[in-house]
Amino acid sequence: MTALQERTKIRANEGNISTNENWVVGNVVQQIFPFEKLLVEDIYAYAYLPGSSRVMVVRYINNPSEKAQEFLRKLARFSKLPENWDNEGAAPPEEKIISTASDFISQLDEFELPLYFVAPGPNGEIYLEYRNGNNTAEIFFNEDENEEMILYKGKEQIYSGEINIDLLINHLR
Amino acid sequence: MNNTIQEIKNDDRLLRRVKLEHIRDDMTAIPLAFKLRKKIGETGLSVYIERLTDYAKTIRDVTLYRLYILSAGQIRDIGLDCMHKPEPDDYSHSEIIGSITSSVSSKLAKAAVYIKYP
Repeated sequence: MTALQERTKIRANEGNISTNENWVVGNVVQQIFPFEKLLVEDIYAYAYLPGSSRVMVVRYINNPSEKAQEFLRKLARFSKLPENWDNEGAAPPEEKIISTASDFISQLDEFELPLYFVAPGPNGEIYLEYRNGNNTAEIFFNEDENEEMILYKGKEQIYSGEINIDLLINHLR
Repeated sequence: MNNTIQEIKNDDRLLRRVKLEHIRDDMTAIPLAFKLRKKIGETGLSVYIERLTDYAKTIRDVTLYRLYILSAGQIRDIGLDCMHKPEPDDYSHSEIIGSITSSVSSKLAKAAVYIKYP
């Protein structure tokens, strides 16, 4: 989840800017400049541009979208699942796994990725799916705290491995 | 009880019972429907040879499950195998065996086709 902390969607005069795209707004001529490094310190981000004044932008914390709220409510309900919730020996997800999945949904909500499905698994894992047309992303928050991501283009599996936020965002846009 | 082990040929069709919680609105199954239950020591995914059973018996409870089908050939193409393992109450019972990672579960789910029953 460290990678998520390095990406903060910021609101400046020109509108919303995703820092993973490495853009920043200059305060002098209201232009958008590509920029290699943006320092994010807690709630403030300071951007330095050669030949311009220092600008400060404040991170905005948005309310979760309706879709994200719907998925967060579903996740919260998973915490009430009993042992053997499927009558075939399934374990309920632990609070820690639910919390990790909730944080993931909340933080990625800023990027308006298309949430599609969420479900608890037989071992206490949580499955989350995003879908944009033919592009699908399957995220597994496993019971051993291992996290995995699988990407599809149509029926072709094009990535399977650790969660990669850049890849995920680019795949779903 | 008939204990004769049958060879599963590539064109044999195998039924998998899937819980409603693991089915999308478009009736495709999600990968969790093909995960091993580690906590109860499952070593293979239970499936049922179509030619040795019927849908009513395999689905058990239509309020909880739906049926999906895969050919043995599809399963072997993914790098897994399937073996006939009769159970006392179900001669058609078989197992998908091999290294069932999340990626493999996902491929099985993609290959599985929904059977409109009931």
